[in-house]
Amino acid sequence: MLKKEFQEKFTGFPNYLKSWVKTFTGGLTLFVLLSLLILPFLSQNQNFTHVFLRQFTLAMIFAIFAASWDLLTGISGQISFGHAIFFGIAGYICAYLISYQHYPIWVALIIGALGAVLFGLIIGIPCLRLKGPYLALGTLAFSLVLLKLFLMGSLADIFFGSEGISALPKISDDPVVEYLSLLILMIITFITIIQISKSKFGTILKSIRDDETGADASGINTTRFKVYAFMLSALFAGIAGSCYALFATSVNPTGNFGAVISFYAILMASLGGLTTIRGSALGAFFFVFLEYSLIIAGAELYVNLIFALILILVVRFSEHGILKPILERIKDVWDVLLGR
Amino acid sequence: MIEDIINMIFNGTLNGAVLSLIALGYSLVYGVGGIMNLAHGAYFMLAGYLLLWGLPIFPDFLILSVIFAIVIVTIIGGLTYILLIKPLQDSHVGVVLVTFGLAFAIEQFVLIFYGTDSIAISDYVLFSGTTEVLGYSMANQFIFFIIMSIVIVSLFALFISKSKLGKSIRAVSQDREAAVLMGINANRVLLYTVMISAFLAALGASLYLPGAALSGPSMAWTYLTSSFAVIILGGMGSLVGSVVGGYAVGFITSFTSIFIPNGPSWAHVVPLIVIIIVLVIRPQGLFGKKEIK
Repeated sequence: MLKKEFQEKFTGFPNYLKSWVKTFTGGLTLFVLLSLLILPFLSQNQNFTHVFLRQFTLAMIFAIFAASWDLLTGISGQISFGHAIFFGIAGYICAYLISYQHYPIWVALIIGALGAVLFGLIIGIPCLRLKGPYLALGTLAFSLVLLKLFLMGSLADIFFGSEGISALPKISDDPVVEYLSLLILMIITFITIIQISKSKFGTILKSIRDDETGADASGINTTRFKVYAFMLSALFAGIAGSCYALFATSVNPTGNFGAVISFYAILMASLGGLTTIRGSALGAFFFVFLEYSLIIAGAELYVNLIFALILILVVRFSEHGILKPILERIKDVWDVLLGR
Repeated sequence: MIEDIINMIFNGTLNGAVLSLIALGYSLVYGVGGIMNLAHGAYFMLAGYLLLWGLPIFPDFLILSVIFAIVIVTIIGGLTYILLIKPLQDSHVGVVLVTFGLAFAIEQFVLIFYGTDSIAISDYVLFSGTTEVLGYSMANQFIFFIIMSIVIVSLFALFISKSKLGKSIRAVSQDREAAVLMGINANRVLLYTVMISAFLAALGASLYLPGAALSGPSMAWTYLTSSFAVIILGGMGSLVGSVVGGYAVGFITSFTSIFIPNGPSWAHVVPLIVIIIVLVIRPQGLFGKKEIK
């Protein structure tokens, strides 16, 4: 029966695609994706490829990271303020495997992500007892403690101390290849997470978010699904974390485990809207480019402060993010243009 | 050996004194309004840095700096409630996100001006020098602080049980709707509660930090995590729990620091381990209940 369902979906896919493109969001998404695809080929200028294009790559890494956070917090309702843990651990494992054990890049990347999943399990279990703000603080506590362990004291020396590991290879020395690999990873991640969110599994997660007692009463094993949510979210965060290690070619405690990283995930996903996955991509691109512009303008010190203020404003005034309202405005303009 | 034990007892009490003051305010706000103010650690840190900022401004009347720091932080607490918490009180996620954002903003703001280095503000020390007890020397400022901490907590306990505002606070924490029916302006009470909690944090900072030095804006998170552990141990919303939990965590930390190999490293992990153990064995903590006692 499952096979028949799958077959139906498969053969019906071209039609589905056609009708999807015709919808507003579908068409818009396709347009954006196609532009992203063509982008690297627009200019051969060194400055363009090595600097500007890499900002896009960075944005895509964070888009994956933000989407993973959104999966855990927006869809499953488990507020995580320690997402840096998964990001950092994957980065460190990946870095360690490449530098010290000479694993090939992609293998190390995947193992790093799997390491993050393990942490998802480790963290998910104690956090089962925590809800809402407690969970937020608990995960924050976890990430801060891990940061300290790696940064200070004699134990840190086992974990490469405050300098971390450096001189890692990039995904590819050609920024265009790097960009395209991440674009593909990002598209795969987003399609997967969106499909998860629409599936039965996703509905269960949403029911746990909206009314855990009710979900429990309906016979759903909330414990199991909460842990699954943690592990799944950790997987994508780990992929992002490994990619980031390869992008930055080094890992160190503050850069990979810092509370700032968790903050970025929260920031980017909240801008786009807690429950919209696509919003995380919007948030990621917005903030990476905002930071880039601010650094060019010489205001590097103020970057995080401005980000924090934006977060406060967005949550205070538009709790469901700005993606939907913006899309609605664009759609209205579109309709007017088409004379409807 | 004796030296180590005295060290442990003294530092344990010291840690406990700091943590209980911070956790008291934090727990108060939670008990009364169900609000987790993640910016609470930032209040403590900000008070310290405001003292630093006031140094060149009031060189002869340092007490003005102290008053200034405490007043500013209390006002920020009030503003936090009016501008950020109250409008979002229906959404748990919202309050958490917004106070987190505020804590981050405060941290970054201080970072811009002062960077991450440790800075000492020993000009504010009221009792300099040290006292020797059985071979271990204790900073007099810290002895003063411990005494003051106990005084402040006792005064606060008196305030909560006897004064009109204190009783209103307890009423709102027990049953908000009933309190409103009795004519208590719950909104106003919540505002005062947040301001009082900020006041306590700032007061603690002014007495403790001159002896301890400011270790970078990120210390806000360290104190926040530790006070979270204290509150989980003591029980959310219980004031007695915050104090008892504060001293408990303080002692566990100092014990770990001194007697366990690689101590200071493990001491960082103590809050987390406390949280996990408490959640597994007795999730409501020692005195846990939603009411304020």
